Amino acid sequence: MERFKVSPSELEGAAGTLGRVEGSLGCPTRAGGELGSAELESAVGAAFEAADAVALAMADALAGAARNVSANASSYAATEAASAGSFGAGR
Amino acid sequence: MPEVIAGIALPEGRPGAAFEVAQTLDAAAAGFERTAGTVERALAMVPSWHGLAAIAYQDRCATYEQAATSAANALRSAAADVRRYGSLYDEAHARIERLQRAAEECLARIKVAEREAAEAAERERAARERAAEAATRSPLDGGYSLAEHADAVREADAAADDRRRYEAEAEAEREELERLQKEALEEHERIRQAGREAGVATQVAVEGMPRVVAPGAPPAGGRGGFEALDPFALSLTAGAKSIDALGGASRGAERAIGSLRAEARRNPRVSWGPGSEPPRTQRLAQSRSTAKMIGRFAKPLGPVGPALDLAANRAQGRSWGESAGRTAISGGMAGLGGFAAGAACGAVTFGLAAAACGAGGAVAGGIAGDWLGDQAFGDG
Repeated sequence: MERFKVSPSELEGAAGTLGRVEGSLGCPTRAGGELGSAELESAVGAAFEAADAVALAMADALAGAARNVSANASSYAATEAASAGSFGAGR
Repeated sequence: MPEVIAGIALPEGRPGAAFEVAQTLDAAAAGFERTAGTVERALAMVPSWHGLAAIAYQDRCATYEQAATSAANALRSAAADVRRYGSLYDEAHARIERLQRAAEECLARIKVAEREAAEAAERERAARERAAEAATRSPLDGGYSLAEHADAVREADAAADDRRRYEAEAEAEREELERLQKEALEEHERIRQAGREAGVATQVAVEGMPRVVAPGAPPAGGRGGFEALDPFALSLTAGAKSIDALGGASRGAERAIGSLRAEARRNPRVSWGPGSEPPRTQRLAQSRSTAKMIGRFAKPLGPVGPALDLAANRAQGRSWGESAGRTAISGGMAGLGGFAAGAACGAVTFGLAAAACGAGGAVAGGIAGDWLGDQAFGDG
């Protein structure tokens, strides 16, 4: 009867993956002067910051989605069972 | 300070550093790629799921996947640029080190030649003195000696030849040193040029990154205004496709607010508000068509929808009064249709990307799957 097949742990896994991405950014190798070009240092810094921000936002977004799926999956199953044969069937 | 040898300085920076940075960028790109893959797998797990909730889910997943892929591509591209620069830098650094060694040897040869020239000059001076002395010697001291004078003159001439030869050698070595120093300067310039080009290329690559946008920010942007916001939706913009990452006013939004505040504190580069009109315009069209469809099935979302409308209007630069009025109209119109104003209605009216937070909207008391979609993807 259960038709909702997305495993919350799958999305949790995605969120965790993104969390790791976020954690892997902002590494110390972009220390001042090591690249030998101020322009490149600046551009690389911007790349790290942008990636950091995106990873943070995506991690939040996926964590939120995963949390919601996790919280509502059981409700879904119950609701679908109650409405079987009417609206929910075949979804 | 870089080491300076024989007037040649090593370039700023460290060989291998660019490759380490490129490796880190690649690692970050791989993280995004893994995430895109995970989202894709999650999407592929439910091929038989249909309905509005499924549409919302698919749309959301596709957006995440696209955003992650865009980020990965941008980082890969940046890594390639940095790596290319790293190759050039390391080669140039090695060449400059070789030039330093050559210049150092050159300098040593100059010193030897100058010393030899000085000694030859001294010999010449002494020989000329002897020749003069022999030519002017008084008979009391033995008188003029032709042989002695001739020997002294020969010796002076030989010393003069040596001096000239060593001076010429020193001059040639000085010219060689100058050439080496000039070559080193050219290498420095080559590094500078490559750095500039790599910087521009990296900037261009970063342009391809999805941007994090807080839709409610005032046009002026900046951190100061952010504190006063109610970012009900956190948008990820990836090329032509954009959708909210978190919608609603629940825990998710609170968490997003906290994250964005933290981000704002440490990252002033994040663009707030209506900072990306082209993708925003493109996504509006998409949001409108999606929202038009789901608007028919919108269900009450409590205060979230009107609040979203309000935030959207404020983001459009409207006054609080006008925003409130438009919000009321939006809510009223949706209410006339028998449905309360939801995030979807907000998007229909004002094009806020947060519309998609209601993308799983369902008929109140109706379709279970859509209800779940709303709960799972709509209400934060």
